[in-house]
Amino acid sequence: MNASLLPLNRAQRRDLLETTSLFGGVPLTRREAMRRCVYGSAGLLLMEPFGIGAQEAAPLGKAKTVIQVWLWGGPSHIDTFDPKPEAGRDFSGALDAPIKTNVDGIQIGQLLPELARQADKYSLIRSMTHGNNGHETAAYLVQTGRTSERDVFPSLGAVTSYFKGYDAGYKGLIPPYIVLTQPQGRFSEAGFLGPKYKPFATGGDPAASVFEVEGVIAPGISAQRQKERRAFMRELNTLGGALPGDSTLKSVFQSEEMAYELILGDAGKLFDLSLETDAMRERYGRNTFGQSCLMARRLAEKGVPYVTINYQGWDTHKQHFQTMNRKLPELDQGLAALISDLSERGLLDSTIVWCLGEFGRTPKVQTESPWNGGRHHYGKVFSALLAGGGFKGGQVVGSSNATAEEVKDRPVYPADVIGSIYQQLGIPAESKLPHPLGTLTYVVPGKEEKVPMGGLLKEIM
Amino acid sequence: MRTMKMLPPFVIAFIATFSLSAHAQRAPRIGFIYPAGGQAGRTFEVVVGGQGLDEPKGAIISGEGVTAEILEHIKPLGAVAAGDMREKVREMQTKMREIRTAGKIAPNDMLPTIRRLMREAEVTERDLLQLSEYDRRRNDPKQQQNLQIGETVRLKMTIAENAAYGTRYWRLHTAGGVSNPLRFVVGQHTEIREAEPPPEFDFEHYTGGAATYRKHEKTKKALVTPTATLPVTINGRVLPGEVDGFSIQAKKDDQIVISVQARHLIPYLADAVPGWFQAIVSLTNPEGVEVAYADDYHFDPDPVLFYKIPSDGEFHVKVHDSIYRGREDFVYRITIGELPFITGISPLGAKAGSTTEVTFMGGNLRDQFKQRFTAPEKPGLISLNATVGPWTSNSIPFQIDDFAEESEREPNDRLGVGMQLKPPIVINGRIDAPRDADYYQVKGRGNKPTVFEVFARRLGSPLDASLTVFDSTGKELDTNDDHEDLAAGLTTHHADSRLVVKLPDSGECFVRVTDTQNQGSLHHAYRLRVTPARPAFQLRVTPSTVNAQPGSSTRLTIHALREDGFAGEIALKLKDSPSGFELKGATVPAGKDVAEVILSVPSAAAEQPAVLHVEGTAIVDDDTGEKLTTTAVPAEDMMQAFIYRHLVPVDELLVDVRTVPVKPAK
Repeated sequence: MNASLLPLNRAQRRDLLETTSLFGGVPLTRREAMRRCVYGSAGLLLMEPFGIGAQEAAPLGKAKTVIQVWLWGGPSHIDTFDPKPEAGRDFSGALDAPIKTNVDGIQIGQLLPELARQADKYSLIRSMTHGNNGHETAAYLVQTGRTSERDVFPSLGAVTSYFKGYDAGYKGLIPPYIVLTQPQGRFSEAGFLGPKYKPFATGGDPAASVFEVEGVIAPGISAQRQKERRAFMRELNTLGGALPGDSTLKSVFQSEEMAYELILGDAGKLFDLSLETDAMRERYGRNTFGQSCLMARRLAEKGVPYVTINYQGWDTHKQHFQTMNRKLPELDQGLAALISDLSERGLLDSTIVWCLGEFGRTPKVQTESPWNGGRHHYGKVFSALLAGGGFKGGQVVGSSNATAEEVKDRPVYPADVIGSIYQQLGIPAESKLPHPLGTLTYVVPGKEEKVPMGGLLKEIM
Repeated sequence: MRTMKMLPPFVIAFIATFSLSAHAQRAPRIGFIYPAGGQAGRTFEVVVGGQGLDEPKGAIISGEGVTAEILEHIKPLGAVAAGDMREKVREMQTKMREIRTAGKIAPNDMLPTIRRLMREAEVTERDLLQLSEYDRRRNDPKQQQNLQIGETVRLKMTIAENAAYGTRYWRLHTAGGVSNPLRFVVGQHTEIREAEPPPEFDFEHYTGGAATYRKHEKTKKALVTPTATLPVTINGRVLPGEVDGFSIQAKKDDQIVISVQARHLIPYLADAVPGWFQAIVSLTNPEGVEVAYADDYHFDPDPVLFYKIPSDGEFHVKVHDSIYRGREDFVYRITIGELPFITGISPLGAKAGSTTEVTFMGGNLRDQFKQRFTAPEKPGLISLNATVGPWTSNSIPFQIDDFAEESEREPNDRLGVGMQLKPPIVINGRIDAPRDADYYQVKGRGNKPTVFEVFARRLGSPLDASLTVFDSTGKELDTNDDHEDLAAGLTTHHADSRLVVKLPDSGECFVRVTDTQNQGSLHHAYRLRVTPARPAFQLRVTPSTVNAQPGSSTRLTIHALREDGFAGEIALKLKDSPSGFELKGATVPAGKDVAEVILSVPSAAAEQPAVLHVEGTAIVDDDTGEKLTTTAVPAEDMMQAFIYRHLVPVDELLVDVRTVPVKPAK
């Protein structure tokens, strides 16, 4: 029997593919693997769809940075990117007058006029779904694409850090995975990749007069005072004088140098938003979210691979419309400024911006006590915004039904979006993750994981 | 030119929407009753908190012997109304100052003058109290704005001497309709109430702002509830961060039981995590040493403490929420005394119509540890309790089935050794030691589905069952740890197991019952029901209170709890209903678990709500044409912790038909 005709299991196919990549010394794309394939008809077997990555033949992208705008708590899709005025006020409440965007045929919520002017630069997914209504589990699902209860998978940010961070030649003192400003705490972003791939959460408030980044800017201590402290420390460094050339001490001193460089050098200046003009700061909005968006743009300029903005306050079981009236203008100004600024600076092509929360919210307004006009969790259908990094703008993927309660067509699952982002980042779907028990694990879930998937977002790639 | 700042159109639209919908007075919704019970033979005041409580008429209380009289409805001031009122008060203050400066007033004339100024300004004492309350809430970090319990109604409750002890369902009746039910307990012991600050107000307090308020709060004396003599039931509630403490006078060798009712009173809180008041209780001896503590009782969130008093003295009982939350609806009742308390029974049920001896376990039961009685003829759940001297114990569920029953026989702790079962049968067994396993044998049934179901947790047993079925070779056919029983609306850990297995024809099969947590004791009793699969259904109807205008239609939601593969259509109708009510052509469609049905109500209003019964009929066996008819259990579809929903059974389905007053548009 011709061995090449033996049916291969998924792991064998992956190993085979990886072996072929070693021939050229670089990871192979599926297309490249097909071109080079020396296995004859087995080459076709090799290319049999497995997992999400293998379903598509899209070339790997060249995006360098991802900015994740995380609407923590779950934003209402019907009040933002999937308005349904015809569903009536039982559903829309008073936000029943959506506005046109600069793309014919696309309307968004009436409290998002600035984003309406940038619609040609982003696409909307109106058929996101996973059906999970728990904050923790849904946040995990949306950011890992996984449903496994056995393993704790890393988030998209941690995986990006793994493949695009220090291990992949990323240089600089700014960590490759930054969270502005508070970590979520509802799941471990690094998962089984471990603490090395945890995000660096800045703490502080970018909208304050001084953005006190934890470990970088010491509260209440000026740069001059820091320098004086350092000089004093050196005077006290009798151990260094007694053991000149000691390798351990040398390493310690190097670490200290790096730390001070981050605090006092050019790297630290990255967090100094006073270096931006007042006009630019105003453009983003003088609030924590707006200034976080500005900070994210500065980090993208420096090539930081993954930045998450954790924007809290979207869990609106009560006081929903009052909260929307307050928060949507903030979101509108900050996110629209981020997208347009990146575009003007020529960075949007290499920077992916995705904006969503762990789920949507019940399209029907909960008028009864104790909610009095609130909206609950809703994982059955919700929306996401996706811009830049090779994703097309001005498009809508999928749709919900007349009341935004069901996916009408083209269900899009978290793994589809995550797989598509990996694709645009140039991370092949078949890339292995270092599972602590040695279990063969790939960045995109395989069929055996039984994670629901609808396919890559090829409509906008 | 002066420019006017306009409200954005969406804000105007929003206000319009919600004020329009408020034209017809909304049906009342209540969130707490405090105290949530009282002693039989007593008259006392209660406060009910809720929303939409305008024009209260009275209360509808299940059972006999409990009546209520409305005293007062208090609607909290809004910010605008508070501002207006404050302005009036300031004007009065100014006038008062002028009068005093002019020296025109004798000390004895002060109060009459104030009252005259109040009359002139059309300000009542109630207004001042409300302004004081508004300020207190605004300045007190422990107080939150919770619209759903913002309004209150004070009532005078009277419980007849001969009123039956136990839990009742309590609804508020207003001009807008009848509220949802809450639980209210008729107790048998002396009741006291946590000391609370009296409602106070004075001019300085409500006009002086936050600084004056804080000063005022600091000068208030600590409130102490008088030392209680046992037995006693203490009523209280906790606000954020509060630990309530009470002193009790106990005697040497008293075997006291301290049982808390918190979740029992309000089973689920929609907007809180955990989704109920998770009470913690502790006992401190006269030396200040904590000697006992409980954060639950078996699996029940409401804690129970048992403690033998070593010497006479004043002991202290403390209660608080597990994470120190609190709110006006964090209401509790603590019963303390040397009182009978059943911790377990054996067996957990009996065959309908049979005469059975039940053994009680627990404290202070004296000679009442065995009872012989004849089970009712109808399958279902009943409650058992013990009476010792003048006191009645807590109640415990007892299941009535219509199958043959046997008791577990040892030895049966390994595969191949155990009782032979002939379905349909119910086995009364017990995992009586840690790591115990009970095996039974059953013959194959020609590949027909057989149901194995453990009833333990649902009957008050601490057993966390695990059920496994093996074939004749010992190969595992199926296993189950937890089976969600939607009919058990108060259960959040569905610890009982259930399996439907097609038993192969060849030889014996085996079934094993264990405790998932490897625990076992005299209390770990269970009932194992082994029967052929019986397609069937139960029904729940929500909500349990419906308000409708005369001649209109309203919606009921019917929940079908389908069993053993029954998927057919269920036809619905009203059973023995008063004339004018109609449920036309209502069904739960085949394959659906929930259906909204339209109820037509009479064209004339009625003084009192009608009690309705919804009945469902379906062909449950297509081969034989067997029909099953069952009555829908009235229930409340309750949410807890913002997400989980439970169908909690209540007493009755009430439909109130009345013309609801229409409020003028704002």
